Amino acid sequence: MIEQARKKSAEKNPINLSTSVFAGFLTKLAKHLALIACFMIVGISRTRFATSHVAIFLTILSAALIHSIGRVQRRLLLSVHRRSQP
Amino acid sequence: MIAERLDATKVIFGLKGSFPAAIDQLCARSSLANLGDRFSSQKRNEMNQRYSYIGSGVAVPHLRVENLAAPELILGLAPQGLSFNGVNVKVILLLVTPAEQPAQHLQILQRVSSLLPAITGELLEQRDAPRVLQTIARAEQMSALPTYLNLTQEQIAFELETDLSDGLTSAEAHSRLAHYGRNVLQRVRREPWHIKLFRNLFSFFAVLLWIAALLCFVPGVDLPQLGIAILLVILINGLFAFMQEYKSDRALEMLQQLIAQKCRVIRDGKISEIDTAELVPGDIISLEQGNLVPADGRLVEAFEVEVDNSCLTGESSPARRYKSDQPVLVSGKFLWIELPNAVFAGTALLRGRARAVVFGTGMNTEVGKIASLTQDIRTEPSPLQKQLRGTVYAITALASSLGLLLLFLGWLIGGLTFLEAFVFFVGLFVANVPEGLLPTVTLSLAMGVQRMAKRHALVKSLPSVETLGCTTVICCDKTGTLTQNLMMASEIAVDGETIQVSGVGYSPRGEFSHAGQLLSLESISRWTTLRRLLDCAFICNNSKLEQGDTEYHVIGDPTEGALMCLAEKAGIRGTYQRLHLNPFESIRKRMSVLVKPYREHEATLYVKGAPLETLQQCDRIHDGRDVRPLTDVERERVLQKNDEMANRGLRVLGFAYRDGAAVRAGALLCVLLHAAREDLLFRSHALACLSFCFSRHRPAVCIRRNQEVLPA
Repeated sequence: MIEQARKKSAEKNPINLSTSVFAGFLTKLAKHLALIACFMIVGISRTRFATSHVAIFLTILSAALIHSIGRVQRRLLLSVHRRSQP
Repeated sequence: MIAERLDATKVIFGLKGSFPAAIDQLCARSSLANLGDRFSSQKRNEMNQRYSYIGSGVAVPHLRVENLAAPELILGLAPQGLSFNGVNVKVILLLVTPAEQPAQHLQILQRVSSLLPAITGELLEQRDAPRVLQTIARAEQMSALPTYLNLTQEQIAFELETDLSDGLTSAEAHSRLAHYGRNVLQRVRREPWHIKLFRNLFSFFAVLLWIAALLCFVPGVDLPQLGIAILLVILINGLFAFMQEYKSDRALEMLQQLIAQKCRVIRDGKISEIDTAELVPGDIISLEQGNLVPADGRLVEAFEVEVDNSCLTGESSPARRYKSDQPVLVSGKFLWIELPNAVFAGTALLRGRARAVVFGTGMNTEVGKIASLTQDIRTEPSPLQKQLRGTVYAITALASSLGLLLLFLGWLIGGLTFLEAFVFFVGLFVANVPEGLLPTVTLSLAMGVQRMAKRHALVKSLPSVETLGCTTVICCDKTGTLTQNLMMASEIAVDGETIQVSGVGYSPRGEFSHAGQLLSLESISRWTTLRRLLDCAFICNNSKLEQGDTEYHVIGDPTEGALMCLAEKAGIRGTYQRLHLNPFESIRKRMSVLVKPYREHEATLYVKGAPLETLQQCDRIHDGRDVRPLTDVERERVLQKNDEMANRGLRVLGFAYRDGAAVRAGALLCVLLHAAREDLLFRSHALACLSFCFSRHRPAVCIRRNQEVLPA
């Protein structure tokens, strides 16, 4: 009976634990990318390392995209968790 | 309900003079201004006076007031008596309730109408307010007093200002809809959309982007185009996140729309179909078999009505409901939702057809009150979550301190500009916030869950894995959780003897043994009282056993399934004509069936129910040889046996029967109305015990073997 319940639970919860870890990683990565973008902007002012505006913008854009993916995955996990509550 | 709403300052002794003067005295104690004027200017004062006197020298003048926070009760005692419409009134209870809550008004009115006449004499003997309050509180707690007195249909129509035949007018219904609101369950706590939008635009990640955007406008950097582009990214990202949240909320609302149904209502004298959300107090609704009850209502017409109240009471058996247009006293302690002439929102009409006048809608229904309670529940974080939160706060504080230290060191000593030092601070802060902590803990918990699952323990909530380690006492719902929701009759107490029954689950194979000796089917048949008990278990039964691929399962109530299984083990089949059935009701706490055996002229009434309640209806006992009057000593012996079995965690049922009910129309009616009330034979110690089958697998909660499991 419990085996059946486990199978059912697994069928209902297709998102596994790696998704949870991956979502956390993506969120953290996005924040670091945003931080790098900040450094790149400051770098321009100090002219220590010149970076193109397009590169900064692409960094910001990829950070936002990665953050969105992480957030979507986290939301999915939350909804699955809520559904599995007794 | 009454004692808790009264206080010592609202009890007046020695009322004298005319009845209107006494009302003015009572109104003077009210916290509401001009209450006396409101009473005297009431449009329907004469009608109200007609329904104010409830008998036994008690009057309950009542009024519904707009925007009142809570009901107000003021009690006046007049030992000399006051003349009111030609009768002598000694107790006056002034009742003022919020106009928005007609259900509460009727509930209090019904309660005071049944309670006060029963304690009038006792109240008049009291000399101070605390003793009066004690008397009322004690009377409310005593189960012997009637709990609710059903108001008459005319009074219900008067209180709800409706017409029981033609219903409300459309104009009145629209006006009430604006006043009482829609008949829907509302979400109590809901975050406003602008807060959600703000949260998404200023999350920790978004703040980093804001910093990047602002840096672009700092003199020396001068990248306004890039700054604007980053701002656009922030806006798009925030709006996208907001839309996601908003959509999930809308999905809930759409789900509610799907649940919402149509119902038939009588307005302007005509039946029409409307959305249940438009129902208002005073509406007359028409219900048929299979309908969900859309609002709380009092039955004004009922034909063979049975309702499924399981969503409110948890009782799976259908409950009979009937109209009562005359005052009917229902004795004993029971809940408002068990009133036999009321139907409640969320329940279903399993059988029959009915008309009901709505007295509660939306959040003022019983199911609305439950919804309100559930929405107030706040999830308490587990010990692990609390510790994690503490760790995160500590690390964050450390990261901030270090960051600030390095900010000033870099700026003042290291030769960095403030901008560079600030970005460095932010970098240090971001790097130190322990975001990876939660996934790591989750992963380790998940590994624990997987290891437990291999040992057949299913864990639904991850934090509960750690919480279980700190647990000292487990209060657990048993049926279906620790047990398999299977039951088996394991013991029978009859004629002062105990019979053991063997078997597994619902499988109809097992043996009866008495004093270590197996009982053959022949000897069971010769044991008169045991045979009667088994007949009763078979006849008072609506369940069916069905053989599956590997095991038997029951269609119907598990308790009845266990009894059916018991009868099958004894080889009981029988051919009976079922003449009438009184299903199990939580008020009566028993089920009775009138049957006529094949080729016999006389009917027999069989009763099965809670031992105490069943025993109360019995006056004779079958001791295995003769039928003789049931003495108090024997009653006590049966109750002791019941207690002994119940203390072992067994569910105990009592069985009784009555022979010789002649099957004639007049006699039959008499039997049905007084079924199981008198002349019942209680077989000596005729108690059957049902033991619960524990899961063959290890239960979800592991309990150390030396720890005791106590049934609540």
